[in-house]
Amino acid sequence: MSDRISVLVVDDFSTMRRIIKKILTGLGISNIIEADNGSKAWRILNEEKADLVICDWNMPEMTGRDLLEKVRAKEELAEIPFIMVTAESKEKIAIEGDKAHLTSYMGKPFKPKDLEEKLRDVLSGF
Amino acid sequence: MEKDESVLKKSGTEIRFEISPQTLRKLPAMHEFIYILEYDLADYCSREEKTPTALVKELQSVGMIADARIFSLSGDLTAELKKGELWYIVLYSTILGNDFIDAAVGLPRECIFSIDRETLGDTDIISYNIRSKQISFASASLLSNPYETGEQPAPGTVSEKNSGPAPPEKAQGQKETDRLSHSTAKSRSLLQDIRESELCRSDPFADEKDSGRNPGGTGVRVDPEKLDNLINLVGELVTAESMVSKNPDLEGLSLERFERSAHNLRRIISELQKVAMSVRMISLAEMFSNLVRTVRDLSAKHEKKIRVKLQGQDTRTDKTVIEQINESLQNIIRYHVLFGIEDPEERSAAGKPETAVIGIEARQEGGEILITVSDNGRGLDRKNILHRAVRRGLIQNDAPEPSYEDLCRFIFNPAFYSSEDPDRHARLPRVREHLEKIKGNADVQSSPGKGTMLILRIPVSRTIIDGMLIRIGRTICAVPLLSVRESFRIESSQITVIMSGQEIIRIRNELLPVVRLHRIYGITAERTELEEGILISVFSGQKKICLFADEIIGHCQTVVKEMPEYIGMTAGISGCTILEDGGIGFILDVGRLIDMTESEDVFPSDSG
Repeated sequence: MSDRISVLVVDDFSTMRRIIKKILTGLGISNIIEADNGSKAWRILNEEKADLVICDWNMPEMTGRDLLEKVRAKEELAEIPFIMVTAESKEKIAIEGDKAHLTSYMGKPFKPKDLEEKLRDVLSGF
Repeated sequence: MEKDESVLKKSGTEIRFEISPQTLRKLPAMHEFIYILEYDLADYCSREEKTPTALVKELQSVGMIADARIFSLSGDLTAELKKGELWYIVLYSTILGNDFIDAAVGLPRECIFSIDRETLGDTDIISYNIRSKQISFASASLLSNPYETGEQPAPGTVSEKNSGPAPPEKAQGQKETDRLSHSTAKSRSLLQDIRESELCRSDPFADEKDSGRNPGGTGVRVDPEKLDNLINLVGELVTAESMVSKNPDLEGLSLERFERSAHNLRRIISELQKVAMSVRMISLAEMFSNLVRTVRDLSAKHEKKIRVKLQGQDTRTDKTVIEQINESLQNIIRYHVLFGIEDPEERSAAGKPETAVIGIEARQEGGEILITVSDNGRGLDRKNILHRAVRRGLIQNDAPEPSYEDLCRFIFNPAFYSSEDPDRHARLPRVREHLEKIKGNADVQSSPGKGTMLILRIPVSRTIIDGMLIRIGRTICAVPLLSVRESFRIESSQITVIMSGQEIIRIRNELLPVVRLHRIYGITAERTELEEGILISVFSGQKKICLFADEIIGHCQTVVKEMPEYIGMTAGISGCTILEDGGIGFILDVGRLIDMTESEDVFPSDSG
């Protein structure tokens, strides 16, 4: 994949951000923006271009769920692929995520390989 | 922290610390990787601009701190920290492999030491030397082996740790060298710790917390019937609670205080339920040690040399389940000893070591307990089974020859045995019959000349399950949550229909057969196009399928009721349940549904 794609990684833990970054770098993506909570991510999304959001569900200040809702409500961001990484229960994500037009989700804990496959899948659409 | 607290020894530049035995047993099974992480706190905190508390939180976000030690080289902790003075050593268990661990924990490679969980075996103590950066293992289980606590092992049996003529120190040393040989590639060199022989002599039961083995302790004996009654009532309570708090009469009302009280009630009930369930859960250790005794007795009687390897004794399951499988396992052990394993002479003629191994292993996999009993004996002979099956009329002479796997499964067929064969007669068929009664199943894998493995799958608990509720037409079904992998919608480009009419979907390089529940159970569904409804990917063991439903409607925690006997066709349904609105939902039996997909005959073709 190419340098054109920029990915926004939102997680309050730097451990998780680093893991996701490493996977993305492995997939050939170097343009990675980080944010450690939802409101920072929202500011970034309004200022810069991001082609994909990978976001934690449970964060202080603004949760991933709130961010997703805001993103989907804004016309120019509504179509952006949004992947949630979460420790919430599967059925909760299946129901709520479906309602809020979540592109895909990854349950915690996950193996890096699983997320990599999911990302490859989503990125193949670019 | 731990009672047997770390021994910090300073002798010159040598610093040692040890990690207590219990910690290792608490690690989740899915955490395949264990590391020792060495943080220089002053260096780390200034580099990452983080407090030590933040570090702990970060570590816990992607793994588990099994144990940790802090030690300081500086006498004065109030002074500002300098690099190389305060060390934080973490025994860390995680799902992350070698390629990701450094990114995750923010440490350079040279401060991360990986420990192979396999080589760990029954290690109880990991020692780490901060100066020489060397890790060593020690085991205290030599004495706590259940089958070595009682009488002397029979002459025919050689137990796991080998109780041969060698003195304990020497046996231990050999064990260590074994480990060395296959772990050096992965981890640092392992040093034999002189302390371990001392540790082996310490009381092995000092940290044995399992009250089940301690009849004279503080426990109370309870009539099992009362216990069953308690569980049933708790189950009813769960249903009754949701019928009250989700009562349709409350709809549209905003009842803040009621909600709060209801929430509190729900919390207490779920605690109560957890406690009630745990009362019935007992570990497999006792049953396993009985099996070891059986092996010992039988092998002495039949003059075979057998060593037993146990794994997963700590797996816990419902008491009734254990009672029901005990006999089956005894039968299986008998089968292995009598027929699976060759005589010592035959073994050495075949170039195998005289002493055979029977491995008994248990682990939880999703909502099931998996017990495997394997031997490294002669395996099942294809020709023998085929001849016998033909002779007994199970296969027609001119029929195409079944696959080896299918042939092996004949050992569960009652018609496969004649009544003149009292030792085999009905033993294995009874195993399968028994397991089906408790919604489990039995299978066999064999490799001629190499050995046979019998596999039992048993549901963990049969009383209360967590389920995902799905709707097909007007029918509600519950899929046990522990069997669910994910749910998703698909596009028509992902669907392929194979020759038999079976639909297959492709998702992330995986091909999964689709089970149309509405077709199996003859329900009129709202959505019949795969793109319109939702697919739920479920698994049992290694096998995966997708269930097709109209929609997912929620989550339930529910009491399993037996299906009434007058209902005929219940294949793939393990029971039913009362829903929050008083309606009835069916609990799907994922394992059976997968078996049914494989046998294919349950799927009427499109024309039918």
